[in-house]
Amino acid sequence: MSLVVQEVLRVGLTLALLGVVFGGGILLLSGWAASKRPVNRLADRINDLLPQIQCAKCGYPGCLPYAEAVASGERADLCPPGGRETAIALAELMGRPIAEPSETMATNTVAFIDESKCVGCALCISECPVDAIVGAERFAHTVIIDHCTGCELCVPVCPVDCIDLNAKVAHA
Amino acid sequence: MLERLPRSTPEFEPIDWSKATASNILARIKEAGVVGMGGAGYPAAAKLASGRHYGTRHVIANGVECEPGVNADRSLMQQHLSHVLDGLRIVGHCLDCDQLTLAVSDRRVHQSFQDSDFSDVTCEMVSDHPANGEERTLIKTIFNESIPSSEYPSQRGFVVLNVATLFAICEAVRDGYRPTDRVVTVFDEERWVELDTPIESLAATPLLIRHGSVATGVMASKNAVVKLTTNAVAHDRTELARACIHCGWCDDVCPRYLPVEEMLRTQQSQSRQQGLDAYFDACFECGACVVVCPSTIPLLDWIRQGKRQTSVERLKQRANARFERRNARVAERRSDETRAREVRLHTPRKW
Repeated sequence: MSLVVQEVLRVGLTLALLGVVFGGGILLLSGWAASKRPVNRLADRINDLLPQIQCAKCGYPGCLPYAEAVASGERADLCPPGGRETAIALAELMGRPIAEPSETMATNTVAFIDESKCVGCALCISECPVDAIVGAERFAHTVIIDHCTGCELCVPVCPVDCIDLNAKVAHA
Repeated sequence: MLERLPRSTPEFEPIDWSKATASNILARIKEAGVVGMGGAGYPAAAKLASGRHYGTRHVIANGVECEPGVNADRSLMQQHLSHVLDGLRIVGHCLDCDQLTLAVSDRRVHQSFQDSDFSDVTCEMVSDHPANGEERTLIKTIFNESIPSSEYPSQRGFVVLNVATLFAICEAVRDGYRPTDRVVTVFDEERWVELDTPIESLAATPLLIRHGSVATGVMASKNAVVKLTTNAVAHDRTELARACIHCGWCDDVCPRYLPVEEMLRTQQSQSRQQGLDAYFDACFECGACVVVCPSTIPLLDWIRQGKRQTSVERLKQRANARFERRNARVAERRSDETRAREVRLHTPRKW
């Protein structure tokens, strides 16, 4: 084989290899990015309309799971904290007839733990969907009202009934 | 002169304030329930306690009309300037501060102050731009000191009180009265109005009413009443609003240099992007844009709506992020447990 042919082959093979490496890399990267940040799926748009209280009153374990269910055909009127407005917005987005939720729930509330009654069982801590309750076993717990969404999930698990829901008051 | 209903016998024992201790005066102000009557309703006793704690260099009586079309403070000063100044002196005595300043925007009040020759109080004349009524702006205008928005002026040695608050303090301490009425601008004229008067009873015509001035007020609800913080009652002009003609006057007049027109446009078309959130936060609702608008658009209503949406969106995003973090943590713990169980299952027993 002549030197020229050898040289051409070498350059050609190198370029082909580079192409495979970079092209594959870009493909892999874009696939990874797509898995990380799904761009504007229907479920995400539904999720944006939901109130993000994470109360699970719809029967799904949070707002995003419910949004995914709605996107695949679940009824759009199951959100009590969202109430009428959310039901209408969802119906409009999905192009379905408007149905109002049968029960509504007060929003703008926060949980309050009566620390003189709290026995420090930590049951509410593991129940809170947004980690808004601080405390440890055998120590009194308290609620970070800036993070509490007022989902009421902590109320039924408390063995001494020391959790109330109060109206949220703006604090300076 | 404005007519005021005669008052009954004082509820409290009058205090000779120049001999009384600061804690006595503070207790009286707290007992009488005096709050900031400029509109914010911050408890006066709490503000003074904070001023005592941090040390006060200047006490300022805020007589600048911060809301266009409202003359309640001006009328009060024309009628009862000596009461207001006594209130200022009481606060100064209470805070061990002799730098007393009265800030006014009305030339006649300024003139009557100079005629009466009060040597212990300085009177500062500032322009009647709506932004000057805000306390931080006022401090910047008079003393050229900037107070960061994360701190109260009282933390930097300034105590700013509205003149109506000072009047109430004077009556509570010197005369022993609880504040039960105040001067309110009722449809372009000033009147003494008793507290808890239903706002509807003040209107002769059944038009929509705003609780507050034309520019900055909010739509009054069905059973709204006059409170200590009510400085005006006005007719609503939303019906008269025409389309925006993009004149840009609102942008020019905004004391915070906000793109008011763009904010209105995005809000009206419901196409707001996250980038505008900071502008909505920065607006302190002075109402200057509403006053200059040639189409009489209730700009502040739109901006307030945007502010509400911004804060709701922010809460939703935070709750969502915390929920996702928690779910990830729970899932990780669960998979750890599963893995540990797998390992245990496949480890041969020692016995």
